[in-house]
Amino acid sequence: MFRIICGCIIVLGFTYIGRLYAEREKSRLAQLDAFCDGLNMLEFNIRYMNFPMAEAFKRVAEGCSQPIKAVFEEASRIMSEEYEVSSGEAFCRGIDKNKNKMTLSYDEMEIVKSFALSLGKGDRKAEIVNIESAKVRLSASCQDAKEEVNKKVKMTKSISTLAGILIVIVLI
Amino acid sequence: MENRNREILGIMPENLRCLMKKALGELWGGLEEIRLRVNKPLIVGTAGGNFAILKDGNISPALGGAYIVSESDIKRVFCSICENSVYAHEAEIRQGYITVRGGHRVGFSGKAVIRDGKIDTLKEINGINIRIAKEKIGCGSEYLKDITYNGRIINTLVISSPGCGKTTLLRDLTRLISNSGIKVSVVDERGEIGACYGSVPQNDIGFQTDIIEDAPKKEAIPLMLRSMSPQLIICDEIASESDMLSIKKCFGSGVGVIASAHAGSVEEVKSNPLIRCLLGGNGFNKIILLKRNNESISKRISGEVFEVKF
Repeated sequence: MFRIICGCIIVLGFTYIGRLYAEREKSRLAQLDAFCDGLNMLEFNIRYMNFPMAEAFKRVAEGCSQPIKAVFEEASRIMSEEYEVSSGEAFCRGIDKNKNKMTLSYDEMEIVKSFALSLGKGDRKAEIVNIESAKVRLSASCQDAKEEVNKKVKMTKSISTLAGILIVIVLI
Repeated sequence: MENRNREILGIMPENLRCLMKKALGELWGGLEEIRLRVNKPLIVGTAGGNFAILKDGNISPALGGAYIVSESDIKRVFCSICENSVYAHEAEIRQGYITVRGGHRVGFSGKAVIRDGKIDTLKEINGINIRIAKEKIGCGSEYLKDITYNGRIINTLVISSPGCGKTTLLRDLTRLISNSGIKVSVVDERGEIGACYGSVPQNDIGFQTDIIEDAPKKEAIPLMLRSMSPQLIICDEIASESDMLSIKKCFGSGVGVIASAHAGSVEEVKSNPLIRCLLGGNGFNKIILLKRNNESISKRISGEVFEVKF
């Protein structure tokens, strides 16, 4: 009886770990989507509303979900409260502060950071071009991620349950 | 004044901020402008004359030992003034100045980029002039009775050479007239009268005042006439034919106007074709001529009121 209970616990534990990993992959997709939405809002605030970057970040944060919201909020706070901080630096610091909550891949983080480094330095056209370029690259990542995530989620759930069963068999 | 000091120091990089905090001390009250030019001494202008800020944090009327402004200083001040968002101030940079929080006007000089025969932007900024905005609460009181008749404001033109207090006087007249119950609309093309930050005027312009900022007079005046039903329109610096035509429309609509223009004397105004046609009849019937006041900021704005006669 005791062995059965232990076996069930082990299988459930591994299944749970597998699901956590699957959720993490799903959240990567959600964050990529949220980031693209954030860039759309940023483009709107720059192109039509002409807000300075600190205000634009704040307004984007209001329309985003976590953790992307936290990135824009932190960037806005840094630009409003600190002296001589460029938009790019503020944004990079916002990302660094919240990177534990973000599940983007290394390549996706590099796209975001390279976008940040060009922020706030040119005229409106240059800013729009920078945002459009980041959107294109992130959208491509999003497409690849959708296919990848679907496969990974199914595989992870199956493997984790099987791993749990295997360990139970080995222990028995 | 503490707020004003913070506003000015807030746009300076760290090294200049420390230097100016130490150097300006008692001078803050009389400070009128700060001039930064690449590879030239850092100079401040006051009512009592120009002073160089020295490397040791003292000030001196002579230039020996002055702190020399570097190209990096200019770039950092420029970025700070643009709030690290050059794109957001394109239109203002095109005009050669930006109005910052507190209503202080920051002018630029540099290399012009020309498109279709007009200045598209400025690059390689080599000079910055920070003109300190000042509220002189009460400075309009001595002029108000001369420009009022039977409870109505006579159309008035405020004139002087640059730096004599036209905008300061307009601001206080706005406050006084608005608080007397007259509905005032301010067309603040350069954002200096109200100096709105967000939607909040930084200066006291009265409780019956509506203000539109950063819009050209030819668009803003008809808009305010249509939407805000003013009894008086106040605007700064008649500088172009379109400004003149917009103001002329007000004269025929039963709305009073107080405006300002650059001119050193009443004769100069009468010989200016742009302004001459606005004088007399339905138009401006009073002219306030301001004179340079070398006393400190706490004193009145000196000037004289003339009646328009041909």
